[in-house]
Amino acid sequence: MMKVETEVNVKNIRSFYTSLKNELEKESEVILDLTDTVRIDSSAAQVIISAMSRAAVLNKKISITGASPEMKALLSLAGL
Amino acid sequence: MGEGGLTEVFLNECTEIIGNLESDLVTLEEKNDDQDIINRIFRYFHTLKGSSGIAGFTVIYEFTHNLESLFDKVRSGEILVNRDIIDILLDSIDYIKDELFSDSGSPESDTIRKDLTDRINVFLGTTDKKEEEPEDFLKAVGAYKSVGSNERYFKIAAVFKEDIFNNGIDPLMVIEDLSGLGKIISLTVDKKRIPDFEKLDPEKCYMSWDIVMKTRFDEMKLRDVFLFVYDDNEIDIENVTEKYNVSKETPYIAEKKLGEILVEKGIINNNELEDLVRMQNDKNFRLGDIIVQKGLASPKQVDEALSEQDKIKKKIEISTVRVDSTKLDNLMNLLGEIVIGQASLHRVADDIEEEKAFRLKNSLYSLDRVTREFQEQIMSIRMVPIGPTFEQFKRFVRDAAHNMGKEIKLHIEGADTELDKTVIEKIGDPLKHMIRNAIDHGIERSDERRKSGKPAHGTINLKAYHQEGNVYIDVIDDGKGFDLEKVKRKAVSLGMIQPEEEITREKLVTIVFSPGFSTAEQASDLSGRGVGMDVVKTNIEELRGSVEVKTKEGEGTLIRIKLPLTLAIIEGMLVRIGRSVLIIPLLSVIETIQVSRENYKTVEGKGEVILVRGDYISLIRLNELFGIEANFTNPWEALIVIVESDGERIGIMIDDLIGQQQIVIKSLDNFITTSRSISGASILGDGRVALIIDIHGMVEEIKNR
Repeated sequence: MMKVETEVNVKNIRSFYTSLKNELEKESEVILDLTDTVRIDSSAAQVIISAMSRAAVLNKKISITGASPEMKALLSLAGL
Repeated sequence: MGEGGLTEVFLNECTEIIGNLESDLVTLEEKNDDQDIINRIFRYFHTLKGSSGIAGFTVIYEFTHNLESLFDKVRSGEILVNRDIIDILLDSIDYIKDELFSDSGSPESDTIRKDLTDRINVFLGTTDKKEEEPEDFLKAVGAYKSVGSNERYFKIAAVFKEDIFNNGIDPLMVIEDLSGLGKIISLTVDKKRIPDFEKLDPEKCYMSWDIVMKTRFDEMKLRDVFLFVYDDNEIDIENVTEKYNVSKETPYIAEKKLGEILVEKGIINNNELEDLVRMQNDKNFRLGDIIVQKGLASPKQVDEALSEQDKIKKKIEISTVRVDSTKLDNLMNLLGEIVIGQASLHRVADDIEEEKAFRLKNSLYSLDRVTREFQEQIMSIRMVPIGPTFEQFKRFVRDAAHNMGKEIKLHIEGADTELDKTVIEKIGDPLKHMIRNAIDHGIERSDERRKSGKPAHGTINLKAYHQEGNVYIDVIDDGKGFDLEKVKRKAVSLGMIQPEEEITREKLVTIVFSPGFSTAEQASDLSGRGVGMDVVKTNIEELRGSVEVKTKEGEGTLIRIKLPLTLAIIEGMLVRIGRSVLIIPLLSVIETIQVSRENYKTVEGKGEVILVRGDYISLIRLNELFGIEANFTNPWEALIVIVESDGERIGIMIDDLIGQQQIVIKSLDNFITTSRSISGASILGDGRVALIIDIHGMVEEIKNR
């Protein structure tokens, strides 16, 4: 389980990317916990999309949990 | 871009937007149906929202989202512009300013925001409908509707540039805005464009969308969402309503120069354009629609004109660049050093063998020309219009007048007049003080004004213009003017003048610029504490400017500020007195003459005068003023430079003329000299320092002795 910050945007995207990369390397399944997350931007969305593709290649899995209705709507617009 | 950098860019942008918003909102209160202003304000709120979101100011993002929604209703005509709306919007701007710029933010900021949001929601929930506009007008005349009630389908393809995050834009936020305009039928993100996870640079953007949506809005409204990304990214919006078997309606985008383009193309003439614009204002329809409906142009011609308009806009946007102003200051300083270097080379040329000197001087003259042109170019970059400085006072006048229970309109003229950036930065405070005085002491209350046969509302005119190589700013009010008797009584009570002293009207007026002088019985929030006008005068004089006051009791007051075009380099005349070299600004010089013995006189009370073409003018001996030794003591042996100050001619006695050249002004600290006769110094080609004479200051100093 990887707890995601309140906001993920271009300002903190590098640390999010690195954390997700590390998680993906060591875990067979990464669950992104969006319980406290109120907003993500395009940079976060594309990191998650790319990570999901990578996980599929590695026979691993990335899933999302705890997203609020607003976050779900945003994720849907981001193609997630 | 680092976090700090992004925030700084955002805050700079906000300062500009907020200033524009305040000015436009106050103007909108007077012209409440001006569509250009309404559209502009909407765009400002839209930008504030987008930028605050990207910069991480989530609270501001959400708050401005509400403001944008409120103003969208104004834009669509659902809510009428009135004082209440303007008050809410201005109060909201105050809150945003406080939230963004105050060091700690207001402790009650949450309460203020909640209160404002409640006020906004009241308006969002209430639709103060306009008097039934002829909604059916377009149908009746068979014109194309700009906004229809039928639903349309649009296919939107949006591919964003990799560096879009650097511009503070989040494409997902744009898509989110878009989704708010209707129902998304299908949405696809092209995941193939996103690199492999290992190779992904997370600070670059790879997102692109293909969307089909159903909306009751027209294409223009959809384009508005992409307003700030349209030109640099691949955005394609296609009306696919026909494919979805819904009635086809072709919307047209009307922007302000469409008419001009059609006139230029010879499709309509100016008279027709005037009629059309009148009709557009009356009916509040888009110009393109009316032109097509009247059969003056085909839809294709209108479309072509609109494309051309877009191209022009793009061209203008590309041809401008934002530059850090310190870079301009550095350029100006470097140019100053080049000018000093050139002067030094001229000196070298004087000392070398004739043929070589001739060749060197020829080359130097060419270089002088280029340097001069270079200086003009840099100067022109540094020149900025005074408009934004003037505009910021609209809000100030509105609020201050309201607080004083007065009705005052601010009228602006010459907003395009350009001044040096440094002058613009420093002129705001003195101007504000003068306007404050006009509101507080000058303009009367409405009932008082009516009794005097004046309009109920007072007017303050802010006017800027160029004249004789200077910039003038007039602050004119139609208030009650100075009560000079009161000024005199106060001056006597403060010991500034003696009770029996004969004092001219002009001299009395200048007393208001004395430190500690105020005729107000009670200090108000605005003014009356006796600090201010002296500071105003000092500030303006520091800019090498001057202030003049003209007042007529019962009719009003004019305060005229005269400022130089630039503060950095001037054309100067080098003169010699004994072994000293002094510089007289060329702008003040009328001529240089030799005076005969007969034309020199001493007049009691006036000192030395010389007769120049029938007029006696005062003679000033610089050697006595500065305590230096001169070669000549008799005016008929010396040279006289005739200069002008405030319309008055004065003769300055010198030993010799050296020549004229560009002078790089170096300021002098007060510990070197407090003399008002010196405005600065310059380094000459031979390394010597020459003092620059401030003609106006010198005359004032001599008169006050």
